[in-house]
Amino acid sequence: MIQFENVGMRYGVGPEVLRDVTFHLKPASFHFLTGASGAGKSSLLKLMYLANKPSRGLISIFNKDITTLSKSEMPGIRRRIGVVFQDFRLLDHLTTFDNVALPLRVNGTAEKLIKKHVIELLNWVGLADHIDVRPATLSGGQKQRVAIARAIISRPSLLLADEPTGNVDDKIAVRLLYLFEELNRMGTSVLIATHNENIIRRFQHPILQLIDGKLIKKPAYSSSQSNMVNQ
Amino acid sequence: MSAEKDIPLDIDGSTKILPWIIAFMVYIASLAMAGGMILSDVAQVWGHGLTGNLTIQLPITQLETENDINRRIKKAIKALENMQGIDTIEVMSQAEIKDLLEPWLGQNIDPSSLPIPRLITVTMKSGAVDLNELRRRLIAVIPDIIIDDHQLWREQMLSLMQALQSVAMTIVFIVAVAGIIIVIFATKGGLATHRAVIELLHLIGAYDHYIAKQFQRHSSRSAFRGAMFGVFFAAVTIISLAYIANQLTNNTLDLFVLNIWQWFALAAIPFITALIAMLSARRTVITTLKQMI
Repeated sequence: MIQFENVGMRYGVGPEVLRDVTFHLKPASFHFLTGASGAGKSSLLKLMYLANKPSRGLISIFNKDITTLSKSEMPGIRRRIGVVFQDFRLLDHLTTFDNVALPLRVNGTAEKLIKKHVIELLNWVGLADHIDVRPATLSGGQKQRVAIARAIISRPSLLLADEPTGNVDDKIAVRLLYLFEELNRMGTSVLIATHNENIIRRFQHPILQLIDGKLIKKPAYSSSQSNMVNQ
Repeated sequence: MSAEKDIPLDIDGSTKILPWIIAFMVYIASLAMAGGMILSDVAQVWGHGLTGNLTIQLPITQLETENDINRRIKKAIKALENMQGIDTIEVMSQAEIKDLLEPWLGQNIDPSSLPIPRLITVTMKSGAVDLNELRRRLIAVIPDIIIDDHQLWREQMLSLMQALQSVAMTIVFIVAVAGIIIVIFATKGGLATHRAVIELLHLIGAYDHYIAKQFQRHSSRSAFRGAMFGVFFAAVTIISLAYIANQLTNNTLDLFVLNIWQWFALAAIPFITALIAMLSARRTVITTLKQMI
């Protein structure tokens, strides 16, 4: 479903932030993306949600070579990708409801269906009481959940989350991960960029680790490794 | 909330002023357009008034008696009566000539004591008179007769009217171009201000035309609102000027009131302005977004 072959990326004329990145994500897979700050996690995600183009190499998303993709083909692919941004990127002038409804409105869903799905999802993420409030009045964790709801409202084939547990306590972080796993069980491929070692060990999914722009594939933690940490 | 509010253009300070600028520009354009239409009417009415008229002058000498003059006048009238297409023939009386001269020579004048030509005014049925034939016949009976069909004056007046109309239309054109430029700059400002929102919309799968639609709607609504104000105040100005003009001329200048079709033309301005603003905004957004990934 997602294929990177010897991908390199640089901003302007600066040094390469990603070097020879090669990996393959299968449909309905679940991976963690780890690495130190500045290792290139956000850059890799940006390539995946088509916010940037690679400097070299080949990227195929949903069997489309994105290096040769025309501008008019991009929205079609982007609609199949849900993104939870590190800084949430909620629109301050819109209510929780309208923020979550945004992807559905963009793809022309009828207002009646939008209302039904958004309310259902806000209930699911525990924000039913905050439908009409604006992001400025929400806590960090609540904003995070609005951002997640917006990313998954249109049932994407691929969910990319950049530090989705960064602003929440461990209890909520675990709840969010269960939510992502539930989505994954419904067929969505999930890639979560995170620093949270507890989460990575507890949820036991394969790991893509970035070190100085180079990608290393690591297997999931075993149950015994996870138990050692949990104890 | 509807999809058209994704980009908060309404709360954007830089675009809030747009309706007021448009209002002012439409006010100027409406006055220029109304001026052009009034001039067109004036030219038509004056042109019509003069087209069907001839003024015939019979120069007289001090040696001629009143009988001689009357005999020559009769000869001219007879020649005119034999022409086809003549409607009325009227010899201007001494009293009427006195009235004509009064503004220049004062009240105490005796036209008969001055070598003032006798005047015959002729009205013609539209297009039915061969002026060359008429001229030939009159000169045959009275060689020194002067026939004035007002052609030269009419041409000069029409040239002046056409020049003034061109000036009015040029003003309308310049205002329209300036309006387009203002909409383009306001749209570019909006695109820069809301770049983050536009990026987000792109990332969640919005096509350029979805984003452009929001700018189009905002620009056309702002332009329509502004143009309505502009046309309203232009109408108030036109009516006020017409009222003042009529007061000054004892209600003889009805020409300064536009006819119903001309009022419709003015009323169409807000719709045309909104359409131009919409197209300008759309083109600007689509062109700018093409450069974004």
